[in-house]
Amino acid sequence: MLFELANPKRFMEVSGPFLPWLAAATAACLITGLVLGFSTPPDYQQGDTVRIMFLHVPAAWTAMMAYGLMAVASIIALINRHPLADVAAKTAAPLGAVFTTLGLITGSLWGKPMWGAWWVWDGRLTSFLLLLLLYLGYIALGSAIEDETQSARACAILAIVGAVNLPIIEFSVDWWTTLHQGESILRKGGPLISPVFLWPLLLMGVGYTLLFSTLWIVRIRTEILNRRVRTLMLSRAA
Amino acid sequence: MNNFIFEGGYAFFVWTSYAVSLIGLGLMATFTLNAYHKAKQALARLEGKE
Amino acid sequence: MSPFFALLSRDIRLAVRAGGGATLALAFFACVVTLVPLGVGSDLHLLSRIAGGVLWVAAVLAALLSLDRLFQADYEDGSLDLIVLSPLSLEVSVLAKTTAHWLATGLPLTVLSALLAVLFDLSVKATGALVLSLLIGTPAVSAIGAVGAALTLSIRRGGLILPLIVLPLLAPAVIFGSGVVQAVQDNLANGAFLFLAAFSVLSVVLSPFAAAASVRLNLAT
Repeated sequence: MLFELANPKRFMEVSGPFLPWLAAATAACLITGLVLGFSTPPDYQQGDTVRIMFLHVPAAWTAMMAYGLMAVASIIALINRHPLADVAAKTAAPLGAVFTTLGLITGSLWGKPMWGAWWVWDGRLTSFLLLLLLYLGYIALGSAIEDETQSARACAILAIVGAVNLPIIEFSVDWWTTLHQGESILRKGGPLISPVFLWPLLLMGVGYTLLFSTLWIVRIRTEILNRRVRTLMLSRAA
Repeated sequence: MNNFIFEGGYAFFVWTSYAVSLIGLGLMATFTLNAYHKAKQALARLEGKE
Repeated sequence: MSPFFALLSRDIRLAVRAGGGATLALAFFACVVTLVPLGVGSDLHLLSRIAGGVLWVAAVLAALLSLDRLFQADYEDGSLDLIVLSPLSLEVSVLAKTTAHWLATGLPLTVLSALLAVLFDLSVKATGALVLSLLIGTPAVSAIGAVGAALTLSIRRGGLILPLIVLPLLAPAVIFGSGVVQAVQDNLANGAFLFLAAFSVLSVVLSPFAAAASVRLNLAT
């Protein structure tokens, strides 16, 4: 099933009709999430800043998921030499970088009223800053190598190396923040959360994931179309 | 209504977060869809000529 | 002489020779470390607190300086093709080149750091910890750096992209490396040394595979 879909032509046929539904589901989740998010009472500790969580946690989650998906696509690309997997990995990176940036900015805006500083070297913020740098390195490498397949394969190797290293980075940063007595309010977005906030958070999380999926599919389709354009132009020139 | 805008004194942080997220995601979507339509048009033009 | 050591000694000789970059990396290291107190002030108490971090960051930057030529020079003059064709598996050849880079850069940096630690009023015990942490940790810098060097070997301005690729991956080395120094300064057992050693072993074992795969893809066309 997966490999059938991995045929670019088949992918175009299947994903085309699917796309409007995905976009509609994205909009539905995000709108309900926003409405619910603004109708919750303020948190007893964090006050109304808790509403920033509905943006920060989904962005952070999507950013990590995007890197995971990129790494999986890269493994498939390297092992099966599949062109669609190349495209999938390459197109996920800019999206992931945007979500990481949004996670960082909203984290900083959440931190200022809570910590009294725009930036605190908190475990999650620090590892997200490193994740952003990993994304930027990946994008820079991809755009620096001109040859299409060579660039895709170099990026695949980098994504896999990064994915192996990411848990180690995460661990070392966590170790480092406990050493320096950093407090972590952002972890309150974890399992301790009260059920009033759970629904909007969940809906926003699903909404962000769906938004990523929609845009990812559109970007993959764009790349396939562009490649078709290039081959057509070449055959015409010949 | 006032409460909604005021956000318990955290209006600046809450609304900036929402504004930045909206702009970021909006720009990302716009760029992505723009490139998609351009690619579609380019292909249609090429295939139309044949 | 076995092919492994032949490649190793050739690379060391090339690195140590004038213009090879090994001595330049040391000079760069000394410059960066000298500039930091000029920037933050001469308070020795403060300097000895940040010494571990400063020396570690400077050592990583200095090691990166000569990394971009690790494969590129051989790629340009064609000797990389010969290395690939040689009976030695490419992974082992990469390991030989990485080891040579460490012997020509990481090891001298480690030795020099003991001297530069004096500028930061680091205690004898803390200096010992710093030297030990660099000795254990810099092989990881060379190994992970080799992956970056292999990935960027065909890019003309590869030296500019290399740090962006490699530095985030080296965050654990800097964290644990300076953590070792801090553990000695604060008299606490934080396990940094073991984590650093584990990170280093893992990098040295796994990186040659990634680097060799990257070299292959660059020679494929």
